[in-house]
Amino acid sequence: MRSSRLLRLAIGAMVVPLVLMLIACVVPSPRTLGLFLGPGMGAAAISLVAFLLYVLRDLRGRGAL
Amino acid sequence: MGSFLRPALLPFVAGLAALIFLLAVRRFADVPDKARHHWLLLFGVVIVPGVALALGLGMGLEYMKRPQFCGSCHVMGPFIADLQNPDSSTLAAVHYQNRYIREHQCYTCHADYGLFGPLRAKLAGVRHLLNYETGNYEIPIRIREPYHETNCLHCHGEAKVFRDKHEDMLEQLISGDMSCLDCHRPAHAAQQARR
Repeated sequence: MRSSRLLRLAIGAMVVPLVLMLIACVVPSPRTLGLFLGPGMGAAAISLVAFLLYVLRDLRGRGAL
Repeated sequence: MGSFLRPALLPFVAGLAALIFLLAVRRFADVPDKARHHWLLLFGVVIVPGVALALGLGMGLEYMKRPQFCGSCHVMGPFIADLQNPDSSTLAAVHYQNRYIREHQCYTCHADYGLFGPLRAKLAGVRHLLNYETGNYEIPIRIREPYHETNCLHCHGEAKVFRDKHEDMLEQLISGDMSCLDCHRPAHAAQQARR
């Protein structure tokens, strides 16, 4: 996967928990909070992993690793 | 929602700011690489959203401790109604109406104390949510495992009035051979058999 795709994935995956969090803040319910804390936090984890891979690839591309 | 809006205001503002920042740094994925972009990306994708999500997580976990949250699933309605019923003499209603527990009344009694008690309570909450959403439950709902008397003793155990009256049965209560509910029942009102 190209680095820019990883970055787009990291950004896209981070949008999900933030949007779900905003919804949960406005309409708190078991459903909205469950979506935020379950799939939302899962998407945040995917985002972090994608960003980490993006950084590692970038560093490797520069010969720093 | 009104009482909830104030504690949710900070996570909401932080989340909105993080989302705007995140969408602003999105364009760096399409432009030639520059060193200062790396810092903006680090803050825009990881640090600022991370802080906002941590605030949201804290808000969510705090909100989940409120009786209103427990009562938002309709199967819990009779329990919440009983808490607030002035004619009720159940253990839960007595504790709630006399403000023996000032807040988070359901959580305080139903989350075990100790290092992993809150974690187990959160996992149980996830299971409850899944069971509720999938309809995987039966009415009347029942407590999954015998109630831990140590939860009662956490507050009552050191009280003089309790010690004076329960000294001869304290060991049995601690060991689980005897339940507080053997004498002080019912804990909650009986449920109507309907889904």
